Amino acid sequence: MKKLSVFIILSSLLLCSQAVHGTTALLHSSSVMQISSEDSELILANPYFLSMTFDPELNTNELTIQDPYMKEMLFSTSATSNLNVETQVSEASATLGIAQISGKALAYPSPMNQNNSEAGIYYRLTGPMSLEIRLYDIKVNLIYQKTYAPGTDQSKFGNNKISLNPSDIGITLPFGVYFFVLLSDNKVISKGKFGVVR
Amino acid sequence: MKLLQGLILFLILCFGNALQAQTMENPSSLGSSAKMIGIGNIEGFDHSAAAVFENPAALHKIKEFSFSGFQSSLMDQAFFSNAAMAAKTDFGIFALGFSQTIVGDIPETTKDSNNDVAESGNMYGYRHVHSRLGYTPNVRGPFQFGAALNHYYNELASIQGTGMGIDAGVLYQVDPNFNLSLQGKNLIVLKNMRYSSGTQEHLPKGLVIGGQYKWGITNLYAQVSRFESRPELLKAFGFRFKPEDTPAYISAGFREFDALDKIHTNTSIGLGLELGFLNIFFAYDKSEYVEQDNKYYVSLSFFE
Repeated sequence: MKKLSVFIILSSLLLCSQAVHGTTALLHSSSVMQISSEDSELILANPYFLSMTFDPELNTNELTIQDPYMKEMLFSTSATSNLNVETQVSEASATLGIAQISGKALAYPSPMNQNNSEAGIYYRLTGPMSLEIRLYDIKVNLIYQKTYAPGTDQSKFGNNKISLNPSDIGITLPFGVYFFVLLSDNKVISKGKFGVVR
Repeated sequence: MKLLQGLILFLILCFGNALQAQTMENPSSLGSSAKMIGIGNIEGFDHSAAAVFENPAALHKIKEFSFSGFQSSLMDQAFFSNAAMAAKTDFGIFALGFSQTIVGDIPETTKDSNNDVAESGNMYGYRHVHSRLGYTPNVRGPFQFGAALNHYYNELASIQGTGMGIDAGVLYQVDPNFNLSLQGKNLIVLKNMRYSSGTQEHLPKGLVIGGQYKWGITNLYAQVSRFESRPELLKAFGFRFKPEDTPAYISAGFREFDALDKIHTNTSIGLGLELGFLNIFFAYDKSEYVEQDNKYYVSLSFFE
């Protein structure tokens, strides 16, 4: 429950961070962005406070996560730019053991020539997590499936890639459309589609 | 009988040394109708215009003319449809069928400025069209012959490709209750799939042999098929149970099929209402997709 609450707040903060990216003027010297979703029963049961403070003189951006009942500072980080809020949240997630996918997984290049050395599924994780990829053809036949343990090259904190080169997945994909699904603990965390050209 | 045995032997020899080359994926092989999917994708025993997508020799069952249509969507992303018409003339039975598969809103991607994260930009689409022109002569007797011209069209983003091949099929009525179907898919390749990017794919070549046995009010079906891309024989079984004096039937089927380098299996259930001038079919089978564990198909035929 505790982790779930933090997860929800972090998700909210991630959304807010998008606003920060676009409108940095919202964070002036006296502003403290505090997020505590009091509408949520989960949060009320375990209210974490996340705060973000921007210091224009030092040009630093401080993110803190605090448990107000325990008066315990769970996480604190600062950065020299307010443009890397997402990175700070990712670090916070990783520290608190909450891993998730950041944004949406995408196939690149798309349309894809499978022999392109960069051909693969690209995504970003906020922490190491177990991961599974499933690849389907246009008739929804499962044509490829692989599981990755947390912390491997495909399931580590930060940017990750699952190669779709024929030598890596063992199959050459004919011209057409394919669907992929990323799962963690049997839950779909991202999905997408891409075309393969020859 | 010797002619049929000779033909089977010839076709098996043709496919015995098949090359392990890149073969075009044919989305229209999903099935020609819900009726066919409901008996395990067994081909060659349809009585409607949909037969043009199967063994063209089965078109001899068209009495005057027939229309058929089929539709399904998978994962709410891939849309399959086909339509066919067939007419009996003094020169034989002619049929025309179009099968289309569409997927839209596929994200075009680029790398970000740091060259390590993919970003989506514009969207593009995919379209596959399989057109078939079928013909069977007006011949009486236990043997029926037919042929079909295939035209394939693939389009993905700005790349297009076309290919052409000819199917040939034979139906043999062993006795009033027992029919055999033999079909060679893309037996003659007129043109491999050639893409505007300068590359090619082989057309999917295959041999399909099936049987239908009428046992009281139940029709039993069995089929073996072999495709260029796989050395193994793929098996399928099905039955159709239609009580006397009722227009409704139920069916079920089991099939093995090839999906890239693996053999998959599936079971299906079918329901039908056959009124003659209007026939409605429904089929269901299991899906391997994690968020949708079943697939539904609907088809109609007129004047079967």
